[in-house]
Amino acid sequence: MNRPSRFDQGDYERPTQKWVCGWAAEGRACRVGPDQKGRCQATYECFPVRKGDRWSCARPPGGGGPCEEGPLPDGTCCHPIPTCQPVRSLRTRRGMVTLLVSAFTFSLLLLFLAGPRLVVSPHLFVSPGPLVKSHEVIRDCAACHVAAQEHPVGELLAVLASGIRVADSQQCITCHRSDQGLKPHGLPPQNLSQITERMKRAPSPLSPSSSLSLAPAAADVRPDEHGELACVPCHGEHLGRTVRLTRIDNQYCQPCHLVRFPSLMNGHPEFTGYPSQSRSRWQFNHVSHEKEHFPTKGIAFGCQHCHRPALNRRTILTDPFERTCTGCHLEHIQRGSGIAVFNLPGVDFETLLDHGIEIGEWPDEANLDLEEDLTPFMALLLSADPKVARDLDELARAGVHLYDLEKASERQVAAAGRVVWAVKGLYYDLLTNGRAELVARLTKAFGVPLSPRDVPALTGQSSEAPGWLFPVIQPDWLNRLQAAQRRWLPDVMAEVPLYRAGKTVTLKELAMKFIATGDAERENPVGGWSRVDRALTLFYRPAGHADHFVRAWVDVTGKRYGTAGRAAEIFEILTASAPDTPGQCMRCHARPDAQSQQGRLVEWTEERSLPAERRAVKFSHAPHLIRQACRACHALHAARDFKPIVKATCTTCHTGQKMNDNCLTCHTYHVGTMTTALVMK
Amino acid sequence: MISFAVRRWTNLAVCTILSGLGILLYTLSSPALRHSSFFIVSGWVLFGLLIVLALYTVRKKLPFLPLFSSSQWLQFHVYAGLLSVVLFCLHIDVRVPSGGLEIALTVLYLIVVGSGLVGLGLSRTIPGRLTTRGEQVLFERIPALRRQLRDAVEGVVRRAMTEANSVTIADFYARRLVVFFADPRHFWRHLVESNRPRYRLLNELVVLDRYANTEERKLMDEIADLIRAKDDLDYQYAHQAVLKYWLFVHIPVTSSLLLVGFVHGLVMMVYYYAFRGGTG
Repeated sequence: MNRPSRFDQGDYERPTQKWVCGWAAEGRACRVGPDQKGRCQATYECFPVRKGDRWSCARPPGGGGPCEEGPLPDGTCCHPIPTCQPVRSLRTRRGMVTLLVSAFTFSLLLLFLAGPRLVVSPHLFVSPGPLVKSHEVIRDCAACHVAAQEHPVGELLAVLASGIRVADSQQCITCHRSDQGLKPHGLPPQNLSQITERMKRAPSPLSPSSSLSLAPAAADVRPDEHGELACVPCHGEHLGRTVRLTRIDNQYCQPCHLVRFPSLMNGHPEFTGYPSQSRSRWQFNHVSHEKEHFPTKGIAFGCQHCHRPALNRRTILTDPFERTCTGCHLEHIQRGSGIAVFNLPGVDFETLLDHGIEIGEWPDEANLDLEEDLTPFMALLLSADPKVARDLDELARAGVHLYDLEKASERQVAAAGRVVWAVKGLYYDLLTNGRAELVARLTKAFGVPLSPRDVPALTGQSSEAPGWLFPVIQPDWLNRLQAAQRRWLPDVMAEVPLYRAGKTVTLKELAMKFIATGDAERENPVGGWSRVDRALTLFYRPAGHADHFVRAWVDVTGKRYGTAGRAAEIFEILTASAPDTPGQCMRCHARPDAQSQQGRLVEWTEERSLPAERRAVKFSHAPHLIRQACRACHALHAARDFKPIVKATCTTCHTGQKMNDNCLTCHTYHVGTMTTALVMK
Repeated sequence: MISFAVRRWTNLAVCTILSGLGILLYTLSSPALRHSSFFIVSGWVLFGLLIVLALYTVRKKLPFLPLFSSSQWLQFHVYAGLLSVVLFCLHIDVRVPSGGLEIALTVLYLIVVGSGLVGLGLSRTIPGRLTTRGEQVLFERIPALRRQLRDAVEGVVRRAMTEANSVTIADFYARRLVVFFADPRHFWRHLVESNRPRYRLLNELVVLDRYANTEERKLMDEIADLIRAKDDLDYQYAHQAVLKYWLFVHIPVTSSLLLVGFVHGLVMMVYYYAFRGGTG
C-alpha cells in the first residue's frame, strides 16, 4: 500500500530537513516542499514541456502521472498547488524543545548563582560539602567567608581570584584565638628567622626527592605578603562530618621548610642529644641509684618505683618526694641546727667603751667570746636604712668585724656603734610594729614591693592560711623573736627610745649572767623556729621537703640575684650543697642557669615552659607503654645517665607501613598559644 | 560475526568489571579522600561519560562519518549508560544530596536515566509489535496513507449513493467514519493493544447489514476492510510515535543535565581548590 514500485512514484519524504509541507499532516504534501527557511515554494503540479508546437503535461507518476486536462495554451500547468504554511519537522521540533529547556536551565542557574541574595540562599542552592561535626552549628557562609557577606557568587569569584584565604582565616581566629594571629607556627617572625638561620648553618641531610620538589606547586601554603598564612591550605573544610581537620599530609609541611625529606625513615635528621643532653629539672643519677644506692639499701631498682603514667597516659610523671625519696633524703634536708636568721652578733664593746661609745645593754657572751657576724637576713633587714647600709658596707670593705674592733679606725668604730644600735632598733621595731615592719624593711631592701602572699612564707608560716587571719594571729617568728629579746635584750624596749631621743644609755652587765643560765631551748627536732641562746641566734630549721620558708626565700632572692645587695648572699646560703647545711635543695633540683637574664629561678615542679622549637615536638607515652619496657628507649649510660635516643629507636616501628610516620605524629604546628576550644562570640 | 547473546554477555561482563573496579576504588579510598580526590575524579569521569553518551545523537545526525556503525553506538550508549548509574551512585556516596543544585542535578539524572530505560524498553518491544499488525510503514508517510484510506472510503460511500441508491452507508459514514478516518484514533488503546474500538466499529457496521441490500453489502465489506486498514495504520502510528516522542524527554533533559553538571563541576572545583587544604 505504501511502497512505490519505482523511485519516482512515491512521495518525497524529508525527515531530516527542518521544514515540511504544511499539507503533509493532511496527507497531501506537495512534491516541491518548503525551502531551508520554511517558505512555501509551491507553484504548479508540473512544469509542462514543449514538444513541437504543443505543450505536454510533465507530472511525474508519483504525483498522479500526466493529467487529462493538459497544460494551458501558454504552457502553464492547469493544476496550481495551493500554498501552505510549512511546519517544522519532528527532529527540528525536538531540537527546539532541547534549546528551550537548555535556555530555561541556564536562566535558572543564572538566577540562583547571580541573583539577588533574597532570591537565593547559598545554603539551599549550592552545597559545598558537609562541614565537620564541630562546625555544624555554623549556618551562614558569611560567618567564615568574607566575600560571601557581599553576595554568594562573590565568594566564588573571590576564591577564583585567590584573595579570600587570609581574609577568611581572620574569621577562624575570632574563635580559635592565637597570640600571633596567622603568623606561621603562631610564632613571632623573629623567632622563625632565628630558627631558619640556625638551620641554614646546619648541614642539609638530604636533597629533596623528586616528589617533594613538586610539593610547593601541589600545596599552596606560602605566606602572603604580610607574612601571614591562611588556615585553609592545611585545614580543608567541607569534606565531611567525620574528617579530621588536624590530619595533614606531609606535603603541606614541606613547602616552607629549608630541609625537605619524604619521611621519618628517609631523610629526617638524626635526633641530637635527646634526652640525655637536655637540661633536666631534677638532678637524679639513675645509674648510681641502680648500681650503688638501691643495692645498699636492699631495694630493687625499677622505673615503676618512682614513675607512673599521667591520667592522660601521654606523659610519665615522677612520684612526689614523700613517696619516693623521703626514706633516704629527708635527713639531708633537716641536717644541722638550721638556718640562722635573727641573731645578736658578737660585739667588742670594750673597744667601743674605750672610744666613748655606749651601746646600752648587750649580752656578756656576745663579747669577744662570740665571733659571730650579723646573719645575711639581719644584714638585709638592716640595709633597709641607707645609713646603716653604708655603715655595713664600710665595715665589710675594711674587713672589720663587730666582735673585733681593736684595729678599727675611729670612723669604723663609730660605724660599728651605729650598727649595734641599728640591731637593737631592728628588734625594737619588729617587736613594736610586727609584720608591717618586716614587710616595710624587705620592700626597701629589695627595692620592689612584696606580694602579700609571700610574707607568711618568708617568715616560715604556711601561705595556705586565709589572708584575713594574718593581721590577727601573732606569727610564730614574732613570738620567738619576742622571747629571744626578753632573754638577750630585756631592756631594749626602753633603751631604743632613749637612744633615739639622743640620750646616753650605759652598758648593763647583769644581763650576761642571766643569759649564762638560760640556754634552755635547743634544736627543734620537727623543724620550724628554734632559739639557741648559746649562739644568740634564732634558727629556722626546714620542716621537710618543699619547706615554704626556704622555698620562698630561694624564689625571692633568686629573682633579685645580682640586683638587690644581699639577695645573692642569702640565695647562696640557701642553695649550698655542703653536707652540714640544711635544705640542700640543689642536691636534686637543677641549679638555676647563672646566665639567665631573669635572675636565678629554681624549677621546683615538673612542669616548665619550653622554648618554642621544643614545643613543636610531642610524644605520647600511651601507645608506647608495652609491657612497661621503658628501657627499650631509655637505656642507662654510666657517664650521661641515659643514652641518647636515636632515630633508629623510632624507625623500628614508624616505617610508614607498620606505624604512621606522618610529620604531625611527632610535631605540632601551632607551637604558640592557640586555643582549640571554641569560644563563642 | 558475534552472536547477539555473546555480544550481550560480553558487554555485561565489561560493564560489571568496570563497575566492580569503581566500587573497589570507592571502598579502598579513605573517608576523607572520598570527599576530595575520589569525588572530584568520579565526578569528572561521570561528566565525560555523559558527554560521550550525548554524542550519540550527534552521530545519528552525521551518518556519513566513518565512526562505527549506529548499532555499535547504540550498544555503547546502553551499556555505558548502565555503567554511569553505578558511577553516579558512588559519586553521591549513595545518599540524598543536600544542596539545591545537587538535588536538581540528581533529579535531572534520574529523569535522563529513567527515560533512557523506558526508551530501551520501547525499542526492544515495539518493533516486534509493529510486525503483528498491518503493514510496516514510514512514520512520515502515515498521513498520506491515511488520506488515501479516507479518499477510498469516500469513494465507496459515493458509489453506495449512486449505484445502490441508498443513504444508509452515507449516514453511517457521516455519523461514525468521518471522524475515524480524519485523524489518528485510539492512541492509548493501541499502545495497550486493545482491539475494542475496532470491533465496536465493525459491529456497528454489521448491525447495518439487515438494512442493506446486496449492493450495499458488498460496499460495506469494502468499508470494513478500509476500517481494518485504518485501524492498523493507527496502531502503527501510535507505536512509532512513542518511539519518536520519548526522545522529546530524553534529549532535552540530557542537555539540561550536562549544563547543570558542568556548573556543578566548576563550583565544586572552586570549592575543592579553595577549601580542600591538606586535610586527609
